[in-house]
Amino acid sequence: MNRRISDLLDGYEDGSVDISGDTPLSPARIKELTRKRITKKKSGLPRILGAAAAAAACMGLVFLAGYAARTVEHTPGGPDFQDPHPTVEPTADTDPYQPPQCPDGCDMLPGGFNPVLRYNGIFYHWVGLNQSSYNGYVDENGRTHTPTYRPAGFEAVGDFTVISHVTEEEPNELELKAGFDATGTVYANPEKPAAVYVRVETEWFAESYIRFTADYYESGLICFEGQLYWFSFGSESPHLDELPEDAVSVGALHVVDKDLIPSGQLEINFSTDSYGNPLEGREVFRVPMDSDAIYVYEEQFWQGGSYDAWVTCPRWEGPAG
Amino acid sequence: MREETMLRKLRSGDPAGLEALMDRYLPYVSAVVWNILRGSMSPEDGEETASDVFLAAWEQADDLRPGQVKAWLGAVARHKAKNKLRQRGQTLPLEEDVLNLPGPGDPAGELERAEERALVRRALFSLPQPDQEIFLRHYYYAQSVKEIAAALSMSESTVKTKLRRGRFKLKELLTKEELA
Repeated sequence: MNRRISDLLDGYEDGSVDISGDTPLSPARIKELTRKRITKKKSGLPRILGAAAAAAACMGLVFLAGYAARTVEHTPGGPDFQDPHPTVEPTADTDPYQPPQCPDGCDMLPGGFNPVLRYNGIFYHWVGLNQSSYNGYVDENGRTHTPTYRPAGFEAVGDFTVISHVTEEEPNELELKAGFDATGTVYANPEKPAAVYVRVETEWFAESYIRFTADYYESGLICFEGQLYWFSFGSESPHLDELPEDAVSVGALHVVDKDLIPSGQLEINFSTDSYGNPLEGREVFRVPMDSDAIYVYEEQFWQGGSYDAWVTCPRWEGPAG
Repeated sequence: MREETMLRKLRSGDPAGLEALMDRYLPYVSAVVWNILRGSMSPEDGEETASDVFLAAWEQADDLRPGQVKAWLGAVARHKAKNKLRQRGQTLPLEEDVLNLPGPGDPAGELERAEERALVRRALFSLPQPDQEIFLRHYYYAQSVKEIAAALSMSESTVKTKLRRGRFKLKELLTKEELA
């Protein structure tokens, strides 16, 4: 029989070859066509709006008609500073451990520069909106309003001023080095110095709480026998398909606040794995006498089903390690 | 946007997830689609097919897995583009695309098809690089010999030699199993 090779490959999936090149296809038309078709298929979903919304969409915002966030008056904190801005408490179904919006730095922000704030002598880096829900809207001026919240215990410590990102100077205390203009207030918690929350207002989005983390911070840290290990996420994270024969179980993970550096045995400061499954209670293994890594069980998925894997968590020596 | 975040948004029906998917993969999907449809169809047909791919991702978001998104999109893009060609009674203009194999014809049942797919994978994995990549570029992605030669900085005759090697390997494996 005659068989076409190209047909024999119909059941194959390849992601290894980098196919690129110019085509006469218009990306703008493809996107517009797709947007119209999803709107038609699912009524009630938001229509994707224009350029301002597209800029905000880069930050992971979704816009619905109507604004459903609840607000709570907040008592100003700190002896010398008055906080005029109310917080927005999370809604009942909010996961307080929403993943950060721009965890690797946000090159989609104006200026293509990941903002840095200095507070209490420490440099904090922009992570993203601390959303309380996906409800939001864009007003007639093209500014985005998204419900965000400030966790309990973070009190106002002062307003920041912006310095240009093109300078080589480091920001001074309560200065925000950024590629855009903004105003707002910094909130800190002395019991959780690894993070600050900054109420920011810019030209393109209304006042929102942005989470910043210290330059010594990392998410996915696990404390084990006094050492920190790092649980890496994503498809490229190293993992084992089989545990070494002499590996033993050392217990289960316990999730702590994302703004903490874990200090208790088997604490982890992130709540879900690469597939969105909870890390609380996840079994941890180690090879005796080997302190370079621990292993966390993860069920990994592919189109044909799932399989057992153990994510290799190397010892974490710090941001430069 | 991190891939996990993008997938989570897609699955929850958040259009920001779809926008991120298109931003990231539109050039790749467009290239896959156009490699197959060029010469037979208009750019508008190509744009509609590319849009079909992203619509499929939107509607079947639960099928997308971290680390496999590109592979899934590529397979769907290829499948939809080839279907479009088939509807117009056309096939891919590829170099020596036909293998003569023993046996009655296309595998009848799902089991036979699964076995055949496994054999094809084995044949592919047995090819060293860059032979495997060349084989995929031509028979999977429908790039011409000239394009492959330019992309990999080799001569066209070298590309043809490696394609021939890949065909031979595939035929050898499929023939052996069929006769077994």
